[in-house]
Amino acid sequence: MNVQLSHSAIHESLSPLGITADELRRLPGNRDVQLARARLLQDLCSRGLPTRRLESWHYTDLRTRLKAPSRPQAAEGAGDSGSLIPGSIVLQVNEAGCGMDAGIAGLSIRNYRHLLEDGSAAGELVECVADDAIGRINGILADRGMQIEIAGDHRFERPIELQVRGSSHSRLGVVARAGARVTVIERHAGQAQADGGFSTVVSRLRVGEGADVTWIIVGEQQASDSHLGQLRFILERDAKLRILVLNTGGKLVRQEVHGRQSGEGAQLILNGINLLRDAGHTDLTMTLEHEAVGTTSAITVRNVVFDRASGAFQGGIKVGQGAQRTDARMACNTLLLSDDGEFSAKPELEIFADDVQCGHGATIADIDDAQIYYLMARGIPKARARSLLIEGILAELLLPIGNEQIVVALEQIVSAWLEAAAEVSGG
Amino acid sequence: MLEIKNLRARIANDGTEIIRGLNLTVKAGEVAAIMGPNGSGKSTLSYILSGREGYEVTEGDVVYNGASILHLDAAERAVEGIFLAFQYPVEIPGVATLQFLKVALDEQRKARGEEEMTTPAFIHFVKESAARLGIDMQMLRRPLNVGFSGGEKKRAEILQMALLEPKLCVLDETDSGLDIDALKIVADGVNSLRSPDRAVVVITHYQRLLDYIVPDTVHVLYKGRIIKSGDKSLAHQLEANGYADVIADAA
Amino acid sequence: MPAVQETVDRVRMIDVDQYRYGFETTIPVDKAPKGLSEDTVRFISERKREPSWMLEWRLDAYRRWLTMEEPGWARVDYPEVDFNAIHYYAAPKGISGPKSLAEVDPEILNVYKKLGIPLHEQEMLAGVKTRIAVDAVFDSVSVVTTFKQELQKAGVIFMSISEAIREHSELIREYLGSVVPTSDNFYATLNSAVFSDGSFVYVPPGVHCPMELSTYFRINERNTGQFERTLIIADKGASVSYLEGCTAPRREENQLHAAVVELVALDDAEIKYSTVQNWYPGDSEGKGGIYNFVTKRGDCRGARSKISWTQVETGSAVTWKYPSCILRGDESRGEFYSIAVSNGHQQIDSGTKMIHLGKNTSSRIVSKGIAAGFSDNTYRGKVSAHRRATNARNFTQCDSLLIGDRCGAHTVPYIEAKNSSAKFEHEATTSKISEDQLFYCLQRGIPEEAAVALIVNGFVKDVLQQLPMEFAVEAQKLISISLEGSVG
Repeated sequence: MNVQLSHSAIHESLSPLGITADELRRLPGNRDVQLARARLLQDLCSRGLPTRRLESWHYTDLRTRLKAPSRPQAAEGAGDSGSLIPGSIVLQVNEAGCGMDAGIAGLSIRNYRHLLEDGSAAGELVECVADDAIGRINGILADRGMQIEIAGDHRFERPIELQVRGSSHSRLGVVARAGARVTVIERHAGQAQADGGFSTVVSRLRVGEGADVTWIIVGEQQASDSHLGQLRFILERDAKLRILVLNTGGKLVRQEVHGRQSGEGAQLILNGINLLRDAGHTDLTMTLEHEAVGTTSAITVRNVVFDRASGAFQGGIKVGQGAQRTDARMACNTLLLSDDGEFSAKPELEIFADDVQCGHGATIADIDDAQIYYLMARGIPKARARSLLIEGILAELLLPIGNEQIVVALEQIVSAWLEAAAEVSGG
Repeated sequence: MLEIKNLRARIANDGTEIIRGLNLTVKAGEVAAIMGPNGSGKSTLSYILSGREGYEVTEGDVVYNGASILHLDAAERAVEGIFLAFQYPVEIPGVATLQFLKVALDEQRKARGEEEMTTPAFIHFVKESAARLGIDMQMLRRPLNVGFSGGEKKRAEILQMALLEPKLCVLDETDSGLDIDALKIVADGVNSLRSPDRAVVVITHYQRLLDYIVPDTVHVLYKGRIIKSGDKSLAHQLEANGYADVIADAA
Repeated sequence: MPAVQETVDRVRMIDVDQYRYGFETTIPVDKAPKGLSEDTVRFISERKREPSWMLEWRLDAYRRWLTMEEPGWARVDYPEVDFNAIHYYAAPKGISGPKSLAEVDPEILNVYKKLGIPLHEQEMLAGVKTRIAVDAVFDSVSVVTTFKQELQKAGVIFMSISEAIREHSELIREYLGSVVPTSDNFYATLNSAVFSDGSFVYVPPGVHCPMELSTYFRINERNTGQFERTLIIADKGASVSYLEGCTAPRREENQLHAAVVELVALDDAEIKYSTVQNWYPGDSEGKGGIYNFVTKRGDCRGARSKISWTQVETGSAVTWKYPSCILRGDESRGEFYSIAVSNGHQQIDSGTKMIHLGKNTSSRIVSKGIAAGFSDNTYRGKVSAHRRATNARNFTQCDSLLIGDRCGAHTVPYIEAKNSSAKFEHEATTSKISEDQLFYCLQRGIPEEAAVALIVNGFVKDVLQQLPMEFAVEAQKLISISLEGSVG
């Protein structure tokens, strides 16, 4: 390492991440990887964790909120928690990288640990946007993951489920070659740990020409967990991508999605469901760049806030000068059900092409009284009427997934969550 | 079955009094029509009967099957058998009509201590009733009232009435926005539900609907009071001469 | 729409560089030396014959300002301002405050005549125009205030703020800085230290101001900053409508304008504040123009009070401006109607803040941004509901229109709720003038430029309707002129 940092500076930067310099040195990686990590660490030292003074972190002050446990429990050996739906190709992301010799035609899987060791991962241990604290932290800490390639024109009916558990720092990569079709479920589950777990995941997705990908992120953190996630994607010509993000809370959760629609005619649907309760904080931050002609995007985020929870949605759509005939829509609807809760939305448009149709809408409100009355007039008690309406509002966002089994499984997660939340807050 | 005694009610928010000493009795098996010009309090009456929040009863009582219902909320009244067919049925995105019907039926049965209906039995039940009203099952898979035409919405209301088997049906301007064919279907649906132990209150501005749902009694509502009652000939009289004469007589 | 034909004619009359107020007038001036120090602050205070507490207030702001940094979050880009290369005070020789019309240098009166600003009360009384009382501010001083006597009869105080500091110090001490504190932000703090002149309005309880009040700002002198300060107070049950206009000569170098406007509405009071901002925007290469860094804020301090901002922004090289409402009183209401037109190399970052604090407060935002040429046009707006602000209501409609593919239109809303009874709705669209609309007009024989003007006028109509009639017509012309050369 030819980068000079003082011991105290390093210590100060690493302690909120729950890792020591010694532990850091033992992370896998050849010299190039270590150098890349050192560069990121230097950035972290000089800038510190982001505060609300940074525009992109205005609603989530990481410096005050992030306190990782000093002794993270390893998530190894945890039993298979089962897949979201039966028949999935389940890949567990763990240190050893086991369960990866799937041997399925059209699917190639590489252990990310090997990519760190042989240095081929070094080039991508970089930030992807300005003030990319998640990319930086994960780049410093990542010690596991996998790189998956879906061969051209291969169509997978069975979803691929990537399971990430406990306090860990993973990198996942998926390349869907031209004409491929696949559903990927990225599933984060926290682990009950006394002082809370801390995990990060950075996923990279490339959707090749005419390929069709459904990417589902299911975040089920424990109430004391902190989780930072990031999905970076790029769409080639006529590629189709449907993303669903479902967050069910945690002490501190920030999921970022950063995408580029680089190929003509690429289509994106991004739906987000954030379920917030207790004293948790959930942040969904998205940036999307329309770079090519005739690309479309439809982004809908719906949030339900109970108790003392707080949340934020930041959506940034940029339409570049060459991206004529872009059609970009963004909506953020929040049901704020508690006077102690709070939610902030920042749906941003940045447009440099004139032949475009862009719009965004945002609402923050309680449930519509007229709807509750209608249901009650049919004999449905008030509490049930409320939950039915909330489920209905959220269920709409699951429809684009298409796979009935997955939709049902996600609906169950949502209704179980709503039931639990309603019980605690007394309806 | 229904007895409204000297009822006074106002909008809770701004205190505007809408119902000003209303008296009305409807017997089991009776079809009562309530007619009145715009702004006379017709819709408000339907809201107060069904227990919508935002209205305050300041005087009088609403007695249903021998007991006051004013302390019951909208859902409890529905369970007691009071059904309101809305003038403007609310659109509820994301909630499929069938799902909604099942939940409503289950909740009402649960509240009455009855068994929940099995899904096959439920589907069979819905199919039968829907067919009678010329409702396509496909429509019932769509979100409740979302994108329904005016006629579809009203038919869906009558379908709900048929499925929930209420004792007191209140129809609020059910004829508005209907063409003559849809009107006939809706009226047939209502007529088929007429029975000696069920009462129907038809709220309407025009007499047209009453050609198809023939009332036993007709009451004129004006400025929050019933100012005249009679049989179905009163409706024809109103149609021919307008409300002015009746209002002048009452004044 | 007859105004459109007028617009077209007007467009024909003007030269390539569209700014028609760019003339310069030579008038002998009394200037502060270039640069900013405590001495500059003392110089200004002394010229204004201010009481010592005012000087202390200014010095306090100045010392605070030294510790502050220029904000960098706005979507504007400009070379660093050299705060020591500016004259912070420039006044026509022999004028340190408003005089009667007869005493004002005819050359100055001529300037206002050329600008079309009526200063002669008799002319106005004789003419068909609505009567408007005007405070004319020339560089750093107010040169004349019209209709003062008549307003006095109604109990309305309308005078330059310099006079008010001397004559109504009790009101000034109570309200100045009570809406925009001296520590508020970099430019507001700078203004607090060096503000030169501006208008003061006080409308006593129950009085409806009998005529429109207006201030007209003109920067004339080279290398001069204008730092005006306006304070308007509507006491209980009072109402007032106020208009603000501004222009500057065409110059190659940039000039700084950093104003502060404070509005206070007590119980049941109503203030309507309209601006037609037409500072010199720079030339077609982006050279010169005004840096317009303005802090405008209204405090709906009383129950059922109402503050309404309407702005038509067509000028300035760089605009940084967010007229806001603090909805403190229960059932108070805030409104913001804006048209922002950018062309050439202009950069606009403008919008509003609606801060809901009281119960049952409501606000409405309608913003229309039109970007042409190489310009960047950003709407930035914040709507927030405090935890105790039950039943806060906001509706925001924010539309952008792009003309050409070298410009940018941006929307940055911040929507923050901490109360479950809040109901916020925000809608935004970005589009271009549709080919269909344009073709339809062309087919009916309307030339392209006139067609664009016609369609743009339709696009901004909601906001234009909020302006007092006299201004609406002027604003409509101005928008068309600003867009001249944007098609083809």
